[in-house]
Amino acid sequence: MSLRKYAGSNRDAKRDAPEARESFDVVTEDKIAAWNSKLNDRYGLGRGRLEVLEDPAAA
Amino acid sequence: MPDWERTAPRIYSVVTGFFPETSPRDTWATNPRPLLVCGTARDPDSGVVFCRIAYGTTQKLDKAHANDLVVGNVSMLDDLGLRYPTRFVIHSGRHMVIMPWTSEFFRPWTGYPRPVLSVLPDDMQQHVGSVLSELARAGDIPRF
Repeated sequence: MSLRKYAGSNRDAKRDAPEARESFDVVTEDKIAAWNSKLNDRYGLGRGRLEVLEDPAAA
Repeated sequence: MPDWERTAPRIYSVVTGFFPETSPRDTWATNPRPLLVCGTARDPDSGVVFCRIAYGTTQKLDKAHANDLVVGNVSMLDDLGLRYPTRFVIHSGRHMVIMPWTSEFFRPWTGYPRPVLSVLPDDMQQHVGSVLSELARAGDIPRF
């Protein structure tokens, strides 16, 4: 009973979120590549330095 | 720092954040969009969590690649916290980025305590997991 009520509360929150009503556009590959490069430089990504928590691609 | 930054989202979570830019301050991005967590890792030095992210779009659903995850069922949209049919672009690693799990990149939608809307059901997790493994084998995925 309490679980059902909890799920209902979440749905209400979602329906009221104004952000959910927006349209979300398609992002070009060029823009993503440029951003990736910026993030990799800033955080030192892509060198295997981070400790994987969950990653099906690492299996 | 918001409390949610300390807890990594589970893989296959639908989260909300800015893609492909950071906060709206200096960019065109004005609204956090739905994103899919396709992997997580932690920086051993700073402790910061990083997420491999595929973005969601509500446009050009008819142009979806066979491997993309398209959510159109009304009941499923409701369960995932989405209002409109949404395509998560997972068919190529060239459409993904690795982002720190911080408020510079992620923001909760109104009414949510953290930028997590939901977690995919098992069958969708299997589909996404299998696509990610395929991409990894092909060397087409951003590495941590």
